[in-house]
Amino acid sequence: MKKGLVMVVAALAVVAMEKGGEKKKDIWDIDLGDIKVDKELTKGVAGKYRGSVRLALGLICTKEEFEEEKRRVLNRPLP
Amino acid sequence: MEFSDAEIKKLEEITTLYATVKKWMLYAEEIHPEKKTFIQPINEIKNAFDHLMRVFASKLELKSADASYITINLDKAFAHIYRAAYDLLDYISIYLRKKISDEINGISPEALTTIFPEYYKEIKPYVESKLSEISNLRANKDIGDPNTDDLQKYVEIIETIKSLLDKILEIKPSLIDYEVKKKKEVRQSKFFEILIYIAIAIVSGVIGAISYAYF
Repeated sequence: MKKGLVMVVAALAVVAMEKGGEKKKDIWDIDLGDIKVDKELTKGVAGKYRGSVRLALGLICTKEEFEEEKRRVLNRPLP
Repeated sequence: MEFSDAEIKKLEEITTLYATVKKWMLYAEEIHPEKKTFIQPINEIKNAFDHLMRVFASKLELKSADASYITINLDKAFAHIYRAAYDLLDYISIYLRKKISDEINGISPEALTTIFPEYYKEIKPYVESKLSEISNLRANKDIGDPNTDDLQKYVEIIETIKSLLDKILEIKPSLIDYEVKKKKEVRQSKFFEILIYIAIAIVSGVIGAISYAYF
């Protein structure tokens, strides 16, 4: 029963994507996108959010921020 | 749900590597000055989970696929966890270096040479030289063909740098004590220097006055 339900949901998702003009692809084989974070938006809706406190406070280090910090740290020689 | 021996072996590899990633993920949050969460490895873990779900979908017959589908997705799940490990180790190596630099900054070379000679003899050269080794390991990293030996080398370097930071933190109070004592000595010697100048000035004044009165 549950298996059938999952198959139906997967089929519906494929149909929906086809209607949306996307190439026909099994739902299981669609890759997930990268996580994009808008810190200000995250902090703005923190009151309604019930997840990680760190995320709600915008305490996130993105890939771009890390690369910038890395460049800064490596350019500073050890004392 | 049944798995072949090869599939079980791969699942074991994924699970073992994930344990390492989890350990370093917790440490990465701890070492960041503002306790920030690093998004990049979370992204990799999310993708690894997606590939594992594809495996389960196939095993549970929610998706029709041939046997190679399982192998491909297990390999991909492993590759994402492997990449998460590299991202975390890179992140930790940078923040360990930053922390060492911040802790030593402001301590005079004299204090370091006297109290903590290992800093110039061992710690600094090790950290500086290993950074280039780390970049070589990262450059040789091939996600399509994960090399766990190189990853293990990277882990060992990070473990060593972490222990060196612990050593610095342990000795820091002694370095601060030395600096305070030195500053006090300098202040005292300056004070005596000023006293001597005043005494010389007074004696010169008295001699001058006597010379003026009698000669």
